[in-house]
Amino acid sequence: MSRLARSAGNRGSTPREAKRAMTYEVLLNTVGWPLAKIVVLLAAVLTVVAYIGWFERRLLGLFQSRLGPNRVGPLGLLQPVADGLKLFLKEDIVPLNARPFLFKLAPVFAFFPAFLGFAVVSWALPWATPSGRHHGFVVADVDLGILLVLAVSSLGIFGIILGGWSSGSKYPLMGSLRSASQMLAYEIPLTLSVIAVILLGGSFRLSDIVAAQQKLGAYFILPGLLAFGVYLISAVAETNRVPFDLPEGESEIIGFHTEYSGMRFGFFFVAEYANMVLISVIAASLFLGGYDLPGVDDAALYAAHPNLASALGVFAFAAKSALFAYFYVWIRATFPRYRYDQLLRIGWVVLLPIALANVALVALLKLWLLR
Amino acid sequence: MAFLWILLAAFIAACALGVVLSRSPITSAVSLLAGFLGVGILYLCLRAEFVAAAQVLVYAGGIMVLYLIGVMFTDSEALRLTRQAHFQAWPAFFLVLALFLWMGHRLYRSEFTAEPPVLRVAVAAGADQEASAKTALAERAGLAKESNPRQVSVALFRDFLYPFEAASVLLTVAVLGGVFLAKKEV
Repeated sequence: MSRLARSAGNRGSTPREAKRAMTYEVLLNTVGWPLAKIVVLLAAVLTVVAYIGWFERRLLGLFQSRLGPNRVGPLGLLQPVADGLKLFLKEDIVPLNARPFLFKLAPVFAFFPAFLGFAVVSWALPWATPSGRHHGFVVADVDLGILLVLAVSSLGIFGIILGGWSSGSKYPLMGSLRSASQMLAYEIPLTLSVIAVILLGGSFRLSDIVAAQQKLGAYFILPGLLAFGVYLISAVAETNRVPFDLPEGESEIIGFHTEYSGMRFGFFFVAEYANMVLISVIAASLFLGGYDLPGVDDAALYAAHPNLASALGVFAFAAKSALFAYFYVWIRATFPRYRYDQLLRIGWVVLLPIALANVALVALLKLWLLR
Repeated sequence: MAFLWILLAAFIAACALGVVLSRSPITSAVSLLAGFLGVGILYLCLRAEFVAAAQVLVYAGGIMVLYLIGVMFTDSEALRLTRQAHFQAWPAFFLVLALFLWMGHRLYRSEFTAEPPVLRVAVAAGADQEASAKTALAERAGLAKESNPRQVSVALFRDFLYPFEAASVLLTVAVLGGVFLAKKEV
């Protein structure tokens, strides 16, 4: 719309037309572009979330010397579509004992936080348009950044607690209490490991943290190796994945969503995979330099070909995040499930002291070496 | 903005009423959660983004979870049958009403207003001071432009470091006391 504004200015048009063009411009920048970004981002994330399930099942197949889903479409690529359709068409049952309002609210509580966190992720260096503007590859580039992700994702636990309680049945209640204490136990080490990175980067904003890594010339996985380890373990526990999948225990243990069926169950399922993608994306930008191209002078490339640098950055980011997604599947294929008391002991007795000591360590490191 | 504020305030007040008036403890807890989130949005409207995030992270995401777990372990049937309001209800109602009226009166008469007080003072003093008021306003704008977490950290770790640390010691003592009281044998 900036072209319209300029042409209106060139022709020396009436003030009213100029004003209308200004209003267009303002509307476009406050509503139009953010909305477009949100739609594109949501579509991309939902697609990735759908296909990460397929990716996981194919990989698990390979790990276990079998094929995995390969019947629906070429290479089984339409499997997520079939699964989604199945979930949508299944009967939706609300148990007689359930509290209907909370029972229906719980999947929403699980679903929203998982997707809200993507808003502050910075995907690449800003895209330069021919008219000399720069559009950031980010929906909301706010100061709070990573803190917002932590705050919002701490709400996901309510989906589990409320879902388990409102089902009006004892097994989901037990499952939800189990999950709640697990998520509480691992949220603290997770936050502390992120705090170590915030200390190193000197900002909450994800693009600042990536810039700090570029300036340092090394990704934060090196100075923050301990934080990285703590983050990995607690992230697996936070997303309820093997070997910490006690909240669900797909085959053996009864979990908080026992009474859910159809698409309401699907919401929990999608939320879990979205959380997994979010955790991978955050890990990639905190510890692996985000959209930084390894072995390339990003600043020089951006000065010469800004849009090429942006596009390559998105791919680098995606590749780094995919590494984490692969890692998730890998440990799922490798480790058996922990016992409940072992799980809580690891969280409170092992990870928490390590994470706390690491924060002090990183603070000293920052004070003496990385000034 | 004022419209949004009224909407939010009404929402928060409704949630608060829900906490007090609901018979089911879980409904109370869920109303409290909604109220916390509403207050968080209110902070966002006041451009205190850091406080908003802390509100959601600490109150909604942390404390409410503990509340809910605690509530789940209580016998809600027995609570439902217990009479919760006694003969104190009416005197308490009038006392609280009086308190609110007094607080409202104080707030109404106070210096807190929507417009920056610097400008009001300048306008009252006359046009010659308008220039200095404008520089003061520009300073405020500069402060607002500085990142929100930075402002909070400067206040916490430079201006009010000792009270902040004293509060943390107090909290540690409280935690130790809580553990001592709750645990029968250590």
